[in-house]
Amino acid sequence: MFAKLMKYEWKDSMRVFLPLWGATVALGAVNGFTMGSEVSLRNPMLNFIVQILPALLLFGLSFGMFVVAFVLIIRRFYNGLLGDGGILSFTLPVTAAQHLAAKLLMALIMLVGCVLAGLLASVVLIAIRGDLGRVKELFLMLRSQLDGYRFTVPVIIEMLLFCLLAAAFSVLRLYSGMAIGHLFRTHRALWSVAAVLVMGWIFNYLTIQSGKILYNIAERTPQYWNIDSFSALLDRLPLFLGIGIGGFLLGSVLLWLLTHYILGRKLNIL
Amino acid sequence: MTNELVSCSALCRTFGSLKALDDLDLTLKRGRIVGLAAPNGAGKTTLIKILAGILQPTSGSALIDGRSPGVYTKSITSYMPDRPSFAEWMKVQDALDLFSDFYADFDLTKAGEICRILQLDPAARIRTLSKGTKEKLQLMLVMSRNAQLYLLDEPIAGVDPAARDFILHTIVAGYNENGTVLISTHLITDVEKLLDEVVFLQEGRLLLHRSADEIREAEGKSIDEYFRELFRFEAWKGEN
Repeated sequence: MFAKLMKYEWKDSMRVFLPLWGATVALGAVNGFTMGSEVSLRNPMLNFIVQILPALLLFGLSFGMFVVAFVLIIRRFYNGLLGDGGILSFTLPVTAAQHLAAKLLMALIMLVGCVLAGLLASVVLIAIRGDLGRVKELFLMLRSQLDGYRFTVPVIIEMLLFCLLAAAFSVLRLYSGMAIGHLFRTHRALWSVAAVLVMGWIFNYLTIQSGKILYNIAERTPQYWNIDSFSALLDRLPLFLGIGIGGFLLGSVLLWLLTHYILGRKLNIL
Repeated sequence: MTNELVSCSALCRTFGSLKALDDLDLTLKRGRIVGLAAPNGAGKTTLIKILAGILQPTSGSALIDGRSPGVYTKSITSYMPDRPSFAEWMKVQDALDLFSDFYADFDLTKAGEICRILQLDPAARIRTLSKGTKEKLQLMLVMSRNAQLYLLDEPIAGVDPAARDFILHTIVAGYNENGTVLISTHLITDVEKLLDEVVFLQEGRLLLHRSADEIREAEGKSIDEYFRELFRFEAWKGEN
């Protein structure tokens, strides 16, 4: 049943995102041709149309993709599960956990897709301009700035996991806020916003308290925390990422349980 | 398999201080067409939504085939809501695919046949259809299932008389005869000839649950007339 849910999630989301991602990559290509074009020197209006406009469009679309993603994440959850669409969704023989998992997975796919489309647009732009060699130079320069620090595969995986869990946590915070808001009979949107804000304060408080606990633990091993150089800081990157992953995982689990409880036990579609 | 399909016991649902359902006890047997009639706001839709599993009771229990609303009951219950619930992006074909994918008891051949009679283009976007056509589409999908329980919430409200005839005909022709159909309506005249049993609710409580023939024989009037008599308001006669 989960695969069938994903089929319809995919169908609905890709209707919007495939053209959007395609347009972003295409605009990257257009910018590759127009950036620094000699036409610009002769005619200011042509300069705007040929050089500035595609660049502005690419910038706008790259930013706009994420705005659209967040709007869709909110709309698809609210309308699809808590609004009129919930009537159809929740009469399907599917568990609340499967509904929630399908929405969350699709939200992550949308966000990752936006990042990849942005990266692909940049690569296409650079490749058309024949500047891929310079990118390598840039990476080498960056490495020298990082005192020769090498990002090993486990660290890269940790970084990706950190980003994914941070995104999942943000999405689940929105989901749980909307789920709480829908428990009210009136002003549901307002209660949803209030719930998201209150949860934000609670999580900030918990983060600060956790930080204090970790600081107290760190004080017992001062030699490990004697960070006197940038490379020493980078050496501890896996640990910092691990702490972040743990925090986001715990927060995501709590938000999942809360949202799942409301969808499964307190559903209130009027 | 017991003959009892729906069983509500001390069922309550409140919205703030409003009691939509108040200590409702109700049992429905298999193979019956039951009319659920009540004035507006008396709890018809709330009861149906609880049985459909999209609203939770405040207290008490509602069981379908001995189970609380959940994955199993949803697999044997076919629900037509009081308003269209399709996603805006869907085409008629998507709705057919969705029902076919999720409900093992969905009869795609029957659905296709009704689509043909309704002249519904599978490629048409649902949002472009008229209100009446959307209702017919929804009913077509719901009645194309061989479900054990059909929950039809106001299936003929807001459609023209010709569409009403089509809808009522589809209900009679389409339902699984071993299943039970619960039709909520206040347009009793239109549906009363279909009904085996009648349930009247008043302020969230069960006022009456009798067979349709028994009402006609005992009261000497149609169900519609009996309903009007029970729920009559004193008419306002003006200020003079």
